[in-house]
Amino acid sequence: MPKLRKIILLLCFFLITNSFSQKKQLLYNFAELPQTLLLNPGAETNFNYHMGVPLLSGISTEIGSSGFSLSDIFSVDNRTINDKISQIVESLSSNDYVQFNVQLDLFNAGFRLNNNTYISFGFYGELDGIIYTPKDLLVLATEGNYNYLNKSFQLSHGALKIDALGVLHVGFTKKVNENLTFGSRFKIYSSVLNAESLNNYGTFTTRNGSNNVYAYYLDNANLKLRTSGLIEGENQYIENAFFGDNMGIGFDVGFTYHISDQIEVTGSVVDVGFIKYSKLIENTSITGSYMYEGVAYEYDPENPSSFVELIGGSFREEVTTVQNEESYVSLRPAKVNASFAYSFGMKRSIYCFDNTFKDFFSNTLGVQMHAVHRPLSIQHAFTGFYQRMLSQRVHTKVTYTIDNYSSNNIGVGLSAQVGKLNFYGMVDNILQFTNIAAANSISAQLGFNLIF
Amino acid sequence: MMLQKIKKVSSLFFCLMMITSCVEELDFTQLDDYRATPVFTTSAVYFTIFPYQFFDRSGVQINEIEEATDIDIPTNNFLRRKTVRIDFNAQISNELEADFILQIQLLDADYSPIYETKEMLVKANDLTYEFNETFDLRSNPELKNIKASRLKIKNNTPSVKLNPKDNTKLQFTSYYHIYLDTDA
Repeated sequence: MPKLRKIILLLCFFLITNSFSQKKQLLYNFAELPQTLLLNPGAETNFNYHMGVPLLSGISTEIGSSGFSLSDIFSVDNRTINDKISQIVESLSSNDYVQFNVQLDLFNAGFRLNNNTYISFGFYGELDGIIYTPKDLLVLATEGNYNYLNKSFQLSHGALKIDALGVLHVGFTKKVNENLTFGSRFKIYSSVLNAESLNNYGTFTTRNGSNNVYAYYLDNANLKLRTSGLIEGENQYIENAFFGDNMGIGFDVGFTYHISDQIEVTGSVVDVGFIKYSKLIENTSITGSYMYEGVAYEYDPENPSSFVELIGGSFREEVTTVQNEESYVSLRPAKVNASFAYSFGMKRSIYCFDNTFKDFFSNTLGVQMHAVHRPLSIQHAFTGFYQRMLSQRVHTKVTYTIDNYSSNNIGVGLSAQVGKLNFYGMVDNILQFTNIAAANSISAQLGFNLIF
Repeated sequence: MMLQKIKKVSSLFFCLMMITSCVEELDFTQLDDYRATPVFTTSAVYFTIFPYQFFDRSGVQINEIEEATDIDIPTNNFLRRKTVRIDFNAQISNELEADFILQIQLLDADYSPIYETKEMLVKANDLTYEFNETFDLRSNPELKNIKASRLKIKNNTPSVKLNPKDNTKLQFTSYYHIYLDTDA
């Protein structure tokens, strides 16, 4: 019981301190698929070895926009595009964002070292990005400052982080005892490109001036953009994905714990790591403060034709732009997953990799939580799921997710095995399938494995 | 038997997705019609003139003074191209006992006049004079090449003798409304 209390406390801690976000909620802990080991290296598996079909073992895409959908802009209706964009800009908040993630397994394989230990390894490419909508800058660009006397336009709006990388990984999953399975995965990141603009701050304000009608204040501006791999003429994207110039390391850890025959908790922390960028770098920073009230004529009767003030010159003196090629370190977006599941229904026996049989319940009901650390906040999601084994080889899962995008995201997943060939496919947000363009987010995963 | 079941389930799965999914008609060419017309307000020239500034070294009253200033505004080509109109607004407070005519010349990189504003005739003791003039950059595209400006201040009542020790002043403040049009 004390163990149970600790686990429940841990789950509550995750629930309260993190917000969990939607991220492969269908794949997580589903059907003992090999790909679940990438979400929780401590997931239980029931096969001797597996091999993903090259390039097809794991294809995962997710795209979402928290502030608007495609149909908000491009639907054919009686509104003008100007009206639509104005409405969107008005309704956006500085925490709205566009986010995308594409992951492709180049290869994925594993083998059982002994009855208690499973080794898995592989290589995948990933494109991951989040761009926060620069609300204030959009207002300034589309409307100007004419109607915004005394409004401080925040330069902090508009953070972004985009990564493209190759990931070589190897992990183990160890059954510690009948109740606990633990796993860990070591990762070597090889960056193809990175662009990030984080921790910007400063304001731009128009006020009534003391010497002139208006005065303009650029206060404490600090804007940074760091890039790697984006230098023109250095298009070695494919080469850089395989042990290129900008490398990093990271790890995943996870566990599965059976509180009883019917109750299971899992948890994992994924992508705890960093990449050090030291080649193909272009960094730009703009810092400083500036106050402008206009051009001051300073008439000097002794020198009546002097040209006395250079606006641009004084601006460049006060607000400095620095470009450099300094190396930098960027953290990977760490994710936290957890689940609590209750199995019930008819008790059956399943054939195991070690020629034994174990009992299982064909229905599982549970909750999952997911959190990912993003530049301006932790994104979160809470998922309820129902999983049913139609047979030992056919599994289905239905999820209901509340996340930053919506509170009515329903997803479905299927895993089926024919002989040694396994197929899985899953999509979420199916309520939006009547009009995908109006969906704020869509994600899908599919893959083929050979499982022995 | 099992194979058929899997085929059936997976086929049903994809059929369901294909049948139920659809996308409303979208027209991406609408973006071509997007037109942003922001208006920016920016301060322009300001100064204060005292009577003593209308006297030369030998103490003789002069009736016209002028001053020029480079304008090296850090705007890029995009802004220069998309600026379609500028409204110039000035507010003048004249505490002196003389009438003045003020005029601004906009100069190119060679300090040659491109444009001259209308004359601002400010009567003596007029503390609330306001002036505005619109520059249409579509019909005067050469205004986009402004590199400097010259201000002329002329005493329109030269018979009035100014006192160089007088603390009265002529205050000039001004600002622009800059109209951009992404369709320009």
